[in-house]
Amino acid sequence: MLRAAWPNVRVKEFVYFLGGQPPYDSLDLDDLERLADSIEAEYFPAGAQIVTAGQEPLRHLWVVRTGSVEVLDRERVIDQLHVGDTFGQVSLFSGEPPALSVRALEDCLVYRVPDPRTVVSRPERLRFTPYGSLVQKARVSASPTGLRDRALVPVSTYGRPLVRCAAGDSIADVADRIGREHQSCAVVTFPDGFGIVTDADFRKRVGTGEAAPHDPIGRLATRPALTVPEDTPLASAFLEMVERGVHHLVLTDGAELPTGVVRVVDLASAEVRDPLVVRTAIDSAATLEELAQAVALLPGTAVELFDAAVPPVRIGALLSAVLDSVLRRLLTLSPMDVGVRTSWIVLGSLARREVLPTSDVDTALVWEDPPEGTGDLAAQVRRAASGVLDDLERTGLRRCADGANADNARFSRSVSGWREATAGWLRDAGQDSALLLSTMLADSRPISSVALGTTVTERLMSTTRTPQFLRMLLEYTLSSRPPTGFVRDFVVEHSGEHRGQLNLKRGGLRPVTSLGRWVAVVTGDVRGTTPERLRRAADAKLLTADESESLIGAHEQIYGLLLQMEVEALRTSTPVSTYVAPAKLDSLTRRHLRESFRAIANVQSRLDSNWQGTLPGMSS
Amino acid sequence: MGILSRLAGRGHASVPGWEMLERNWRDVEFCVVDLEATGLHLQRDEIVSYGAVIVRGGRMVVNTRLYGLVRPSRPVSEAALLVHALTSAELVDAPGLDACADALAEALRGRVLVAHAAWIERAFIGRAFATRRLRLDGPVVDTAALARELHLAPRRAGSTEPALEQLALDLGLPVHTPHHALGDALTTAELLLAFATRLEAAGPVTVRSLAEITQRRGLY
Repeated sequence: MLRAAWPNVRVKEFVYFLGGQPPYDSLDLDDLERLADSIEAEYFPAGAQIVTAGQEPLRHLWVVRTGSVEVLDRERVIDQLHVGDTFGQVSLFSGEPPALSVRALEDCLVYRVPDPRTVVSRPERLRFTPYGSLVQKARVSASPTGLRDRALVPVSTYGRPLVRCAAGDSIADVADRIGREHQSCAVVTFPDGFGIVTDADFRKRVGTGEAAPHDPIGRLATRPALTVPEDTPLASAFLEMVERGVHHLVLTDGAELPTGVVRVVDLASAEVRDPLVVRTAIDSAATLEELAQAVALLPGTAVELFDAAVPPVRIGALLSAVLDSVLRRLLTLSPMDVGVRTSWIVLGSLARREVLPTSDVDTALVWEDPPEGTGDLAAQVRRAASGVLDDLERTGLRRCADGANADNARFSRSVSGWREATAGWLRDAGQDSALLLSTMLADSRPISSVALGTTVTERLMSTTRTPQFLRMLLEYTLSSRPPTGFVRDFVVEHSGEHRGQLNLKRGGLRPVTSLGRWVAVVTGDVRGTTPERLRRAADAKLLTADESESLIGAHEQIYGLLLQMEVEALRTSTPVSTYVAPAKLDSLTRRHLRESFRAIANVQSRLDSNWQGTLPGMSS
Repeated sequence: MGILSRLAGRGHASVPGWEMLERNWRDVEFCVVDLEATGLHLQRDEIVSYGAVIVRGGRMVVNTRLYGLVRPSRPVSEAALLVHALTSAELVDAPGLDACADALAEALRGRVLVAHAAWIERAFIGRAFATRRLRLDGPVVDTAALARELHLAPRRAGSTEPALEQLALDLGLPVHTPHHALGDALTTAELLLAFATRLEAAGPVTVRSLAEITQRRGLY
């Protein structure tokens, strides 16, 4: 083994080159030198095969130094890579055989590099991060303190000791103990359970003279206290706080007894404070104007959450929770006075808690059937709903541009009206819009009068579904196809190649969310986000574990990209678009996107050819 | 290597030897060397710095690189100083020629010597080896000769050797720090990869075929 006689001799050219390319461009000089040191340069003549699909999993990746290479999927060229582009990392990180072949398009010098995460001292600076689940998984393991991991630690990690008191203790005494123990709340024990008092209660009620210092603390306590099991993941606990608009959660053990408390500030960082600020502003809005001011905080919040590297799916969940609270607040500020109970149902991405910062608000409505002899309330209810939607728009949010709104006769029906409609769709899936409407109901979540609202979806899910219906549903689901690839400016679709832009929402996100909806209808369980549904699909054997994981990875990546595009548009006050020019994406993003499309297409074609095998208990 | 040079070096150990002559170039190791000197007089001038890198399995392996300065016994000529910018003052604390000869001998053992315009390196290394009772003896590959064979050598006024930097630029290859012994060794190694790969278009390339091109096209 040779050693440099002058160890400080730097391989400048390699360092400058790597330092100018993603994913290496955030590495410091020492790490760039380590990486440069690990290079083996190889020269390939035009036409030489560099990577062969299906070969042994790669143990290194490649960086094009001069010339160019082409990427082939079953002998079809789907991409060209040029100087600075990295390839092979998907196989390297996943340990799977490479799915695509790479061939020299012209004579080229290519650098072979071992797994850079094992070479550099700061692997978290490798900017593989936003590109696809396989890489993300790898990054997580390389970075044990990452945000993503933090989101999964038990919330008790951030728990504080409890100040306990009895309901009969005096307010002054309890306030004194909270102060001495440097806490901000106490758990109050009642004979039949427990409640919580927080510093805000003291300020609001003792400070205003509503309660006196010698009064029993029980008068101030909120009962029951909001609790979560102490092993709840931090992310879920935090979401619970935002959804409920509280600043403290009591942690409980297996016997549901309080063991500690967690405060929102304990989870603090940019990622946790802002949504609660918005949420608090929404809850305290007394007028439409105040509500509008609160809603105006949302875009900035989304940008800050994104910049704080909060995982996109969590940003979607937080924004959805805030939108829910806006709708609820609207219904409190201007209740619908129509003589019967109504339930507002959110649809689409909001129902799945996967909104993007500028998403429309899609809604449906159901109302109790009025007593016999009363006239048809439909017109009156829809008029009132229209008023609520007008108010919604005054706050700065938008109703659905495509008509999925609570004042549209298709989405606004009485209980019996919904019953007839859903029965009709199931009877004749070929009838106008039956599949569209039934899949839309698979993305629905009541946010007011919840019991009434769930009758709509339960009806759809509990009725016997025929194999014909399920077959048509699957065909409908699979009709939304991803592009097969793109080469620089050209998007390659089933219909052929064309120069142009890629609609990431239609071509990328929709095929996956559609599969999630299909799973929801087939399993009869409409709850959850797309990833949660896809995970359930694996449990129900509708998808294999690999299929489920790869779809979840694809969803995560495409949703993350769309979020990033919206955030950039918000940041620069430019119009939001779901179109991207493939040439504008950096090569890593482009290639991971292509991997995502492939994963989706593979699942689609497997389901297409083998659908009955995937439906437990189903036979035609 | 002719009988005369073998006789001349009687009693000296041969480095690197001829064992790899018939093997495919991708199956042997090459030691690509570049030297900077006090001047270009092959008998009088002395090495001031050396750089080397190994090519193994058809790949240039960056972490095998080797670089060292040498304290010469004579001053650096003005012409040489303008090329490599190493002053006598900078070299005063460097190890002597023995260390250079030992390092290059270790690097060359079992490997094929490659250099650009290799007659210069061959002469200087031969002299350095002699001081350690070693004999440079084995196949030599000259990238300048390979360039001529591939009709890539541009004509340049005042020189019969194609310039290393220009060849790399013409092929679109990266140019490492020019006129620095390690930088030029790295650039030369890339030329070796490109040239040997291109020669493969006409059939398998062995060490013998590269050495024969060197003899036929090299300036010896």
